[in-house]
Amino acid sequence: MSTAAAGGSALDSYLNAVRATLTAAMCLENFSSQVVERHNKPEVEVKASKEVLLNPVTISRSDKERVLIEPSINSVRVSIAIKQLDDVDKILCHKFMRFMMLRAEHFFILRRKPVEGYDISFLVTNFHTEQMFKHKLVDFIIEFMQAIDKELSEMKITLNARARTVAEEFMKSFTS
Amino acid sequence: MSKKTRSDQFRDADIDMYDEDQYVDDDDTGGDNAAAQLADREGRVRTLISNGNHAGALPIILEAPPTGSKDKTLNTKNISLVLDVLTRFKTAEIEKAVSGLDADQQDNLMKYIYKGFSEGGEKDFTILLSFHEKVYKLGGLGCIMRVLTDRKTL
Repeated sequence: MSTAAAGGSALDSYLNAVRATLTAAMCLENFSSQVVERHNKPEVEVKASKEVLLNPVTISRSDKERVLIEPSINSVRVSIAIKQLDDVDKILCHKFMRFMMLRAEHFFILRRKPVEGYDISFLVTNFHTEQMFKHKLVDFIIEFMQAIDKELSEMKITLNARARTVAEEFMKSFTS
Repeated sequence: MSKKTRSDQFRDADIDMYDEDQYVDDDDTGGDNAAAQLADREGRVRTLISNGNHAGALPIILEAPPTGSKDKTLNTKNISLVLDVLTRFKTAEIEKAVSGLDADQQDNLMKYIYKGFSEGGEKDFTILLSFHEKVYKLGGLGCIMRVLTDRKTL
């Protein structure tokens, strides 16, 4: 099941834990609403009937970096809190997540708004698991988590480099 | 506009309340002796810990979690005791300790691991992550599934 290297670093075991929990949580079936006739809603969102909701679980790597997985009979909501160490991280993360969530329909499983306390949320319904491979969906979320960290640190480096160049150019006007 | 002639308050009535097939959470209270049992267990576990035998304390602490009890303080006390035991483990010792547990104890351990994750705070999660890895290796997906579906939450 685990594809990460056997090195067993903290990141690997974190991602493996998320992967295992997601695989377990993504056992979904078609389920019509018990409250409104001929409606079919993700139960984890409407929370209308208690018996179809499973226990939500959290997996944390640190107090800033954690994943919340809320399963139900026909949908699972995955919310990710991304590590943000300083204000630059916060701005970059917020803007980047906003950019993606505005284009949520291209990502199929992306939710338009994050769950309170988290940076980005996915909503996987039984229709997604019917149309797509379950293991690929899990892979996508794991890959997303890896890529987002890399992307954000790259953006931060670029931002700093740019700031340095700008400051240098600005200061040149005083020396000459 | 049509004039409202009848009261529509009946629409707000929760008719499901009167349904005989209505789903009710089981609630089996542990009773008064649950507190005494837990206190007794805590004493035993504390002595084992102070002797440095946290591996011996693990199976004891994973027996019969106080799920049904109404007393929240009892529960939080128990959880913090379990997490205290877990954080005393070294990464190398985990595999041996976990493989000595039976299936129920592994399920309970998984519950405590997830509980520990959600508690947050300044704790170090590395040890919990390696516990998760080892329990998952032994118990498989079923172990996680039972945490997700069990109505008797911690």
